[in-house]
Amino acid sequence: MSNRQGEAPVASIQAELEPGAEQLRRVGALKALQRVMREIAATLDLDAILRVVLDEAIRFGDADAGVVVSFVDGLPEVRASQGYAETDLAALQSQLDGPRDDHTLPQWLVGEEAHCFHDVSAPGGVEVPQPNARAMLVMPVFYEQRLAASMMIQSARPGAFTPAVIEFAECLATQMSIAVGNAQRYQDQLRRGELMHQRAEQMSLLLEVSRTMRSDRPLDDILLDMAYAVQEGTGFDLVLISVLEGHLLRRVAGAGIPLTELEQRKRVRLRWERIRRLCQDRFRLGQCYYIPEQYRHLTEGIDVFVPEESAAVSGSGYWHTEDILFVPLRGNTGEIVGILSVDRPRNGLAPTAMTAEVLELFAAQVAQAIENHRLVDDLRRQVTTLQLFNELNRSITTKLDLPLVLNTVAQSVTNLLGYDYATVFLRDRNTQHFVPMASSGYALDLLEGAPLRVNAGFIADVVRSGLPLVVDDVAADPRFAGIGVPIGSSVAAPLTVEGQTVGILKADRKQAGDFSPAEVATLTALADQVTVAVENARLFEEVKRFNEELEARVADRTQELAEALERLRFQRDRSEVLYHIASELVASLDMDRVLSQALMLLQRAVRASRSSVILVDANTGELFYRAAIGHTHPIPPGGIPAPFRRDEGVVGRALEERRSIVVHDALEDDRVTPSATDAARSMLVVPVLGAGGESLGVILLESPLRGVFDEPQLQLVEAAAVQLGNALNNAELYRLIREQAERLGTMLRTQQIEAAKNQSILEGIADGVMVADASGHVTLFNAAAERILSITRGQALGRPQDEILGLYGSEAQAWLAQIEAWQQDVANCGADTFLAHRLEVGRRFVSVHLSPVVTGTHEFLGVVAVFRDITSEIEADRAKSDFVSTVSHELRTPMTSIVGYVDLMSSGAVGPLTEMQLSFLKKVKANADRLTNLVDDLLDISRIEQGRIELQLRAVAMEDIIAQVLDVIRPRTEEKGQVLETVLPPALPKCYGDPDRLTQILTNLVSNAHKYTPADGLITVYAYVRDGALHVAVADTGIGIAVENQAKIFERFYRVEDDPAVYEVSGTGLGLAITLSLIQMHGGSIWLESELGEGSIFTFSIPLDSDQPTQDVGDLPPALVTTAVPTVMVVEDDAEVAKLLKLTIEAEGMQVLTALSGEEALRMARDELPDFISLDIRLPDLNGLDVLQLLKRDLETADIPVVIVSVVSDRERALSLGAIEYLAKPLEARKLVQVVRRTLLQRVLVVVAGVPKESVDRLREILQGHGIGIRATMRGDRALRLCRGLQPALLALDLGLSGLDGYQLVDRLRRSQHTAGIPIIVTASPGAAAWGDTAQLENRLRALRGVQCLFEHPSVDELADAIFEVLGRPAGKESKHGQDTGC
Amino acid sequence: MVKILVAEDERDIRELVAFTLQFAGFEVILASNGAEAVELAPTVNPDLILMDVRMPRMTGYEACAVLKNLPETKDTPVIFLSAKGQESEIQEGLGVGAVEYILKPFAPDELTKEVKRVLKETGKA
Repeated sequence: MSNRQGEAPVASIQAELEPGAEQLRRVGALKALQRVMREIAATLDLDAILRVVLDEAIRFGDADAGVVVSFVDGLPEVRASQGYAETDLAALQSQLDGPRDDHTLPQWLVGEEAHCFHDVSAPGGVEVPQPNARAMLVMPVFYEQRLAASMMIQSARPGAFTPAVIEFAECLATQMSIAVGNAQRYQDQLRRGELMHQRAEQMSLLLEVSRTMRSDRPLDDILLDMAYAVQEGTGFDLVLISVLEGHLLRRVAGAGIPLTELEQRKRVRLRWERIRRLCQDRFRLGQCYYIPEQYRHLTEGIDVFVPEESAAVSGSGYWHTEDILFVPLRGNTGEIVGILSVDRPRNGLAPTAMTAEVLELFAAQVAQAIENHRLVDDLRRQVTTLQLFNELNRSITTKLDLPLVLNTVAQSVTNLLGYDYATVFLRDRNTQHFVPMASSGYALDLLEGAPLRVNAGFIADVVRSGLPLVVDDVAADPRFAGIGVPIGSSVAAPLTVEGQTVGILKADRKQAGDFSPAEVATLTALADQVTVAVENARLFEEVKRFNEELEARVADRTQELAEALERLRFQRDRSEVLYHIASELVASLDMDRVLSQALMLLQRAVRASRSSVILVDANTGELFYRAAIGHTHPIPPGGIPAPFRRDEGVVGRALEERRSIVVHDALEDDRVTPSATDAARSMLVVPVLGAGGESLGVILLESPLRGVFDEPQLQLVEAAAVQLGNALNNAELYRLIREQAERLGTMLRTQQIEAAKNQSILEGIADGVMVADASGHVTLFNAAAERILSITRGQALGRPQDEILGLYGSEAQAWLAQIEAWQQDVANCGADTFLAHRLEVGRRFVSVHLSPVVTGTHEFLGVVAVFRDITSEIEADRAKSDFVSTVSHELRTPMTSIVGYVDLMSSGAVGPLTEMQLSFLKKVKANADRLTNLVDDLLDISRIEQGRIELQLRAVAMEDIIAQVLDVIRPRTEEKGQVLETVLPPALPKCYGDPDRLTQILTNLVSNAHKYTPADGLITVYAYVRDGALHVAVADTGIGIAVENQAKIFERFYRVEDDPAVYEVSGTGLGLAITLSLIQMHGGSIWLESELGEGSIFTFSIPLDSDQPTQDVGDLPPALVTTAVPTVMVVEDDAEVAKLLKLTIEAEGMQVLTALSGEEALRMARDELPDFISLDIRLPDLNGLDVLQLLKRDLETADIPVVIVSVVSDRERALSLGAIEYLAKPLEARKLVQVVRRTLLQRVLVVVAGVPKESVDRLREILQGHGIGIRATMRGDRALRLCRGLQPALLALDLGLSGLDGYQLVDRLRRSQHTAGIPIIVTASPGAAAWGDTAQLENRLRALRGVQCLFEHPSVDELADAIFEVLGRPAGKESKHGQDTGC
Repeated sequence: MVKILVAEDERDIRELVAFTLQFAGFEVILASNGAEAVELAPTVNPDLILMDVRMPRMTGYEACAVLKNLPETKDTPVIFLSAKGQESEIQEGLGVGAVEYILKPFAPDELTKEVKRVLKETGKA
């Protein structure tokens, strides 16, 4: 290795060589160097090299002895010698070790320069261990500029060392330097090898340690091994390893601690919190924490190692028995997984950085071990879980039997996940309880029959949160109270489907303790699996069901197909026969031929020997043979009577039952009359039915053989019978048509004659007649017309009618307009359509009567105008009116005297009178008054007829008129004990009329009401606005007017004659006629509604003043109708459809109101209070659903059952908004009627009046729970109407109602036999206090039968209880289904 | 004493009116037709005139029109008593200057009441 380094000196020496002795010497030197270099190359043994070098130096320099000293770690040491005795060497060594000076050899040996002494014994020389030495050469050897060795050679000859020797020695020194360097390097290598060896040792220890980790041994075992490794490797006697589990430290393994003590410590867990408190920077030692004794107070509660005996040594730098040293064990991500604590160092010293480093090294391994184990643990758990899930998945997908799956799950939880108990609860759809379905670890019967309520215990928490519930200590948790099984800790994971908890998976342990997040996660995942299983099982059940249905259906279809095929085959066979029969039947209308041909074919087809067609004579009902084949006697045309009656034998039976009969053996068939069995054993009788299903006759086929006719033949004959029926029908129709044609021909002739007659009649009559055709041209103009109108026939005929009528000025324009209107609207022209007018032609008056001529099919044919000269009538009428006027005036004058003097006498002005005189005078006065009234009425009538009354029209406040009239009449009503009252809206718009005449009208009506209402009766005047007109209604509870008389009472002098009650009352019979005329003059109308014994309502309308608001105001009087006929309101925008529905439903005996728009429907619902509403969704103004909502929002209409008519998509919404039913379009009236009937029949109804909406809502809810429906209103008059129309089971009324007060309502209900029996509960809400003296009212009400008073402001529930008491139903909890019934 | 002139052609009614008014404490002067009333009124100078409409020689309307043109009687209130109850007739009566129109037949106490009311309104009583 050092050869190259040696090359340079060798070369220089060679260059200097010269021949001769010197040359030889140099060769010798070279050889010596070569030997040295060889030696150096051969060995690394420095001592050997040094020996060789010394040898060569001595030899070359011809020296006696020499030594080589080398410096090991700076200290000189003799390494090689020659010529020295052991003792000399020892002396030299001791000199080298001891103090040195210049006079001794060692001083020179440690010098850094070469020295050559010629004679050391000379003064100032050097003391050499060998006394004979004179010359001495010391040559230092440098290695890396430091003195590495020194060589000394000596000779007994002074000056023995020549410069050549010195030079050679220098060369050798250089060689030595190389050798020393090599040796040094070698030593370094050696030392490094040593270190590496140590490292390898530690490594193998750690390797050992980690090898322990690698195995799948339990963590505790691994850590125990590691504890011993730590003990061995760190120099501490006591080692304790703790693992952090959650927030607790568990002692796992220790070394040097007595086993019992270790076991005891293992059981005690230490809160991590306590240790963490010690991890302060001031205690830090590397990554360790060293808490010296003086901080002992900080370690309170931490059970440090028990000191065995008090240590002798104390003070700084030494370990104290109560010192604490530990290293936190950190996992891969730096989190703390445990601690390693050590105690009692073997060297007794306090820990240093070095100690810490070593501890850390081991701590890392321990941490790694824990981490690894955890990973392995996790992995193992994951593998287990995965296996479990895999297993479950397989069982879930292969076994769809839910109980089996749930059992598997429960088993898995206990067997594989290490729980003691497991239970799977499923939520019952009906009860909502959680029912244990499967369990493991204990018998199911422990839990069976003990479903858990959804809103109690731990279930409630899980359901509410939807998250797993983890309970470490069940015993201390009230949510688990009452769970029979002794469990320590529990995890309950929800089974969630679409946010709803459908079940719970509960896993328990016997011991209390905490669960790791991983365990909870596993259980949650398992719960999810179970959820899937539950869902799968449910889906599978459905699929299975579908499949079964499908299979059943396929089977059905297959069956049907097979049958159909069979039928088809048969059909094909017989269709040919039928084809022939049919073609025979249609070929001719000659029945004889047709029937014979058909029978022939049929007989052949069914192999009968005899056949006949026997028909029923339409007139006599007797049977006759119409056609026959195979009989001994042929049938004459038109047939011959049958020898048996129509109710006899098989023929009779077939006719009667309209069913075919097959007789297989007539001898054994008791249906066959014996006489008919002469030749036939088999018979086939098939009825022939007419178009209306009536029996026309039979086809009879016979055979002398038994059992000839079977099912297919029967079917064939039946088919033929249908054809025959058709043919007979056709023949009948043909006959009818022929007859019809003949009749029409006759009629035509008759009509022609008739028309000619009419023509001559028209010509001959006294009235002028002008007829115009549809185009308006005059086609007839009779002689009288010529005379009356002074136009010749020639001028009129063929001319347009407007030219003729145009002669009469502007009035004619109105006629022409009317004629045109008729032409436009033919459909509305009836027999009673006409236009009457009066015309002045010269000095004469002519009445013109125009009417359209319209056919039954609404075809406009033209116009007939009839002209009559009424001049004389007019004059006579005028004379009569004048006469009436004069006469009435003349009558009035004596009346004045009579009345005046009677009044004077009655007043006592002319002296006292006796009682009798006074009563007579009263009679005179009454009759005089009557006479006066008669005269007044007569005068009015005559003026009205003469058109001589002029109205003084202006804006009139009707309420003033009403007040005025009532004031006048009130004394009379009070005298009779009648109640007179008004129902007026707060603001009534003004009408346009003559106040005096309006007063007269109202006086008349109210006065009539007064007269025809018994004492204690009630008269009510209503005013309201409808259809843009003011309405006034006068309603009474009087005797009423029979329907047949209602139309006549407006006639002059008409009085109901057959009713003594009427004749008791004085009257002229003119009042209503005048009233009618006056109202008509105002442009209004009057009508009435009346029921015998119930009362009458006279209503008249008067136009509103022009600038008045026209919207509806006020309330209508309640209807008098007391029949239980239900009223259905049909809301439908198509007028045609509405009309059709109206007709159909009315035919079912119900009343029908139609509304064409939403607005109209809402108004009508409030006004008319129908019993039922059919609501179309598509309306022109509002959406039907909006209408429904508005109806439901209004207390007055909220409870009217509504059925929605629309397309399917609205169904859910409609029902959710409160519709009771949904009917698809197009609406079938029959279906609607069914729904109405069902709804109204099913309902037990309570009418609730005057109760505020919130209370009604609550009451409705309670009552519906018991199947009781309600109808609510705030108004008394409506309540009356509802009670009359609906005949409720009970009326609950609060005195807070408006319109009609409580007493009036009760009173009126009691007056009518229809409503007298309705039980009534009267309450007084706080708001009704203002109504008056409730005590007095209560007394009045209590006096009435069937009225119960609850005046103590009862709550809704108390009211409900009272209702139940009356209706005989137990007041209990509402049922759950109450809310679902709606309406 | 308040003076009332009564013009009425029918004797029974005239006496009835006279009796009624006298019974009520008025002084009554009677005339049997319109002309007589016109003749009497300026000299009698009544506080109120009660007149029938239909009378011979001069109707109530005519008489009223004349009286309203006489300085002595133009301020005297006139009440018509008539069986003609039509609106147009009443208007006509009121048009010639009458203050009230009482329809026949009438109750005597109503007549008294009406007369007293008119007297009070016209400041004659």
